[in-house]
Amino acid sequence: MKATSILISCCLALAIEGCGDSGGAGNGGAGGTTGTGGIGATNGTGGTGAMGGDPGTPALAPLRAAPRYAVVSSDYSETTIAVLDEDFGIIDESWINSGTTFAELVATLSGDVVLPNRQAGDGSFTVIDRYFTDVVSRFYVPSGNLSGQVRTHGEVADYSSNPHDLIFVDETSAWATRYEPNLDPNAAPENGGTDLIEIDPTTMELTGRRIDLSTLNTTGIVATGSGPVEVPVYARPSRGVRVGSILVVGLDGFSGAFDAVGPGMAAIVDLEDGSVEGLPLGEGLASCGNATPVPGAPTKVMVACGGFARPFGEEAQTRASAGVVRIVIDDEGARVERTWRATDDPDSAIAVQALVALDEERVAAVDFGDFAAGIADALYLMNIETGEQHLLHESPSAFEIGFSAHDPDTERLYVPDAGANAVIELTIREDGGTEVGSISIAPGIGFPPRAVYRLD
Amino acid sequence: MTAEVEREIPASNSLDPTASGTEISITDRMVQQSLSELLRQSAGTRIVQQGPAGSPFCLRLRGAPCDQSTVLLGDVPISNPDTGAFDLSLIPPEALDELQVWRGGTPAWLNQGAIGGVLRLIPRQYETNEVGARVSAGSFASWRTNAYGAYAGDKVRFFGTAGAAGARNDFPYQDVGNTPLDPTDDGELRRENADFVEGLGYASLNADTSDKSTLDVTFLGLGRDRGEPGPASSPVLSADERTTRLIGSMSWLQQDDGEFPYRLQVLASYDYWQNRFSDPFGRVGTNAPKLTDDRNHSVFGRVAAAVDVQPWLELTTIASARYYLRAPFDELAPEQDPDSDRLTFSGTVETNFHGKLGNVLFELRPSVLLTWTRSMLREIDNSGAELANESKQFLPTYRVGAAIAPLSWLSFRGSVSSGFRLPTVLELFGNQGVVQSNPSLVPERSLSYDAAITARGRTGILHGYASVGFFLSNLTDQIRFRRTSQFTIIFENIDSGRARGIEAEVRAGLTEHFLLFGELTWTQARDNTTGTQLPGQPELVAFARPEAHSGELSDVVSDLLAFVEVYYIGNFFPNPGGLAVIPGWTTVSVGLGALLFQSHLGLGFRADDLFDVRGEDLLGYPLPGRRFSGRVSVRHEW
Repeated sequence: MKATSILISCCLALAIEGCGDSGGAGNGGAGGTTGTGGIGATNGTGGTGAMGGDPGTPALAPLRAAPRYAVVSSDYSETTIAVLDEDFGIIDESWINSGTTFAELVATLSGDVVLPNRQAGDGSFTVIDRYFTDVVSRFYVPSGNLSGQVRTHGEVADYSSNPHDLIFVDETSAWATRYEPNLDPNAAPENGGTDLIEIDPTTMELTGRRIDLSTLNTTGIVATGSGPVEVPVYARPSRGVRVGSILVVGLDGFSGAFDAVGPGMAAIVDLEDGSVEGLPLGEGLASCGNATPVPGAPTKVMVACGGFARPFGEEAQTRASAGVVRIVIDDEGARVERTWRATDDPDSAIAVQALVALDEERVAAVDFGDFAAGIADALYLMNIETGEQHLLHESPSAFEIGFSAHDPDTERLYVPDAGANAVIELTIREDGGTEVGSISIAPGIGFPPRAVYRLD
Repeated sequence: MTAEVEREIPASNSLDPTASGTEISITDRMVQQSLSELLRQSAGTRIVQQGPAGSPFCLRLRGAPCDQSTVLLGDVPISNPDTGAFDLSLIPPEALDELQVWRGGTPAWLNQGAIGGVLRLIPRQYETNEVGARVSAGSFASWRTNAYGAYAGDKVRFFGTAGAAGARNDFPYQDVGNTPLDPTDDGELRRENADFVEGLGYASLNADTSDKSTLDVTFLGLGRDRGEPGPASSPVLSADERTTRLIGSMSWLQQDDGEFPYRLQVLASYDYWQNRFSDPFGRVGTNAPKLTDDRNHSVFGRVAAAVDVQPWLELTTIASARYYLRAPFDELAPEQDPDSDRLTFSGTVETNFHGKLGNVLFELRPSVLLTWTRSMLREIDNSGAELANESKQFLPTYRVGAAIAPLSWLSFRGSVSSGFRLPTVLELFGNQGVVQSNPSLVPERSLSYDAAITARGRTGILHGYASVGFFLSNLTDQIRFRRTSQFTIIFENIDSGRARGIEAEVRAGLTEHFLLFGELTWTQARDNTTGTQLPGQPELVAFARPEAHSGELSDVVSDLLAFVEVYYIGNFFPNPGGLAVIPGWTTVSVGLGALLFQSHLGLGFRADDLFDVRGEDLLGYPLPGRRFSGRVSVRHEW
């Protein structure tokens, strides 16, 4: 049966009771505490006005120090965020979580939460609550005061914009990537989708400015018993990086039902003139939504193309469409500077998932395992110039390793391993890495870590 | 037809005094009552609603999720292991006489092994010649009307009704803008796209085919067109659903009270369910437009026999077969999946030892239920080829129930039973998309225990019953989904759980003028892996409805009715993780009714959620607050 019909049945027949109650990742531990942060699951959301002269509205517990890392842990229905110091010591194991306030139509955080590729850099802390919540929240650190929360589309919009990233430009401008297309041709521009929409971080309100990326929509092919069928493929802007006045935004390029994919592409947006250009990343590459900054190379952006396969995970198709692309932005504009393809070496690991750039040449990326075959995730250190790969870490099972955080000064890599329910601490060398420790985050809650972020 | 037992042993039901069952009568129709309101009277229940009338709702039993219980119309199963929780809003109360709520192990006559229990809907029958009509109207442009006629001859009895209902359901709710930490954008909005309109028809024909046998033919049909509003946190304004449900059954019963009393039942039924769903902008589920027209067919047959081979021993055997066919269609999908089906055979054998030891009545009912099922999912894979996935399961379950009555008004009962929930075809074989296949899934299984003390009788002006009991259910191989990427999940047998609790129920009358219906249930339903309470299940649920009747006062006033309903739901988790908490609430409702002119005219009024507390059973789905409804009914009997 197709995904759509099943999902409809589920949703209409009381999804939570029929499907959802049978849901849950099952990776949680004992406890279920609400952590130390927050206002303790009360109906109130704090008073108005500043506390102790700090800007913003009291919302979360004050932190004893400015955090340098954040760990997002989730069972995919709920989320908790821990904040840690420079030495990866826990400041608050659950500074904000889904139970920080009573749930009234929404929980404080849903199960689909990420942090931006880069924080604003002014000491504030921004959280993105994605599909079906569509809210960006910004807090002052260390006071825990709320700067503001903004929904990334208009009210009662009949639409979920699914923000994937917030790219800070300056004090009054940041652009949210809106992943979902709005298929309603009569939708208002603020509910357009497949675009970037501007938020003023000082007021945490939409400014009304929007950059449409639907010109980068393409088509894809779905195989059927009666032959191939062409279907629309939407650009689906995901993670982005600012280089001067240029935004480089990775595009996933999936169809509505995720059953087809378009050509791998990044959107090059010039904020000075509002122009949009699609930068092809290479013949055959697909699903290139993860654009990530390159430490030490401010004019360069690394883009991971995760590849695409039907059925999901089929290796030959995935390998043929997976790779890593380095983009450079200079006076000549944006161009592809280096491409590593999984097909370059048929014996290589397809290490393109949850990619983080360590420098211009090196990335840490995951080769996803296979549930059915009992193959676990493997994290590799890879040089995209030489194609050389070194195994850094293996998880107990598949789809467990998330986005890591790298400290270029100490060459430490913090790897969230949901299977081990811990963040693994590695020291990176030229020819690999050494595990030097692991830390369990909020064991009382028990949610597995999904991503580690180094905060600007 | 039910397997009536002697009622010497005080019990809360008339079918099996060793079982935990509650009977809820729907005879009083002076004031409008929905099934969801009626079901609150039973202990161990938790109603889960998506919204007001016309919105899907389902029933949890003893902490078990809705899809772990079975719904029967008479003796015909109308829920399905492949379609998840059964939407009870599709059952019109006009077609029913009674609700039977069976918790835990159920009587052998029902031939079911569900973990949570069984909700049995008893179809309506009349013993009088009567015609009548009812019209109700209320808040949010809700309305409901039906007309009926009943004929009761010497050999033939007939009841038929037809009606319609609808509502705009644009009730207000408090919106927090999805920004719970920022109250500045909070405000009151009105629910949109929650309207519905439906038509219903029900007919029942009961004819004597001999001195000892009868034939029952029933038909139930319902067609509904409703908007799918989605969660209020991300409203859906453009999707709607059209449902058609037709159920027809024919049952022949022969019984004899001779030297060896026996009952023999032969039953056949056909159930058709068509679901058309329109979502032109892909608002529900994945972001893909949908225009589906899924059709489901179910054919069911059953033969049941019970015979008293000795005055102290009754033997019961039941055999049933059910064939289910699902024909999916999505006009907007690039490829149509072929039909899928499931075939299930079940058989039960029960021995009922009963009698009297001294002054102590006893009943001991061991039974075994054997179920064999084969599901076949056919689908088109991603290369366009047709795939056929087959799964077979053999599921033996058992139940041992016992009851003793040392006094004429007091009994003790207890039972041990096993149960199961089959994995759905979606859980087993995935859908070539969001859900990955896991054909190694095994059914969820349970081992349950319960016991209760029941006092029932009539003394002076006091009559009724009160029952207090406990239950414990251990579940293994619970099926949970595990996310494998942002867009894919897989179902696995990875959890065990335990539900235990205490339930109390009272039905009491002080003369015929004052009645009390009440229940109190404490349930601890834990996921053993996380140690947290199961989502959607509050620890405490309570209901009380004191009711007063005047009785006949004059030729004009046949009866006056007043009642108050208080319903309490404790805090509960909406998600498995146990962090977010939905605060509990208490609603208070009142009702007034009058039967006038020898009961030819009825007037009713009710006000629900008087203090406008609202609440939500499912995260994102607000419930309506204060609302009012009135009913006028007329009838003529001869």
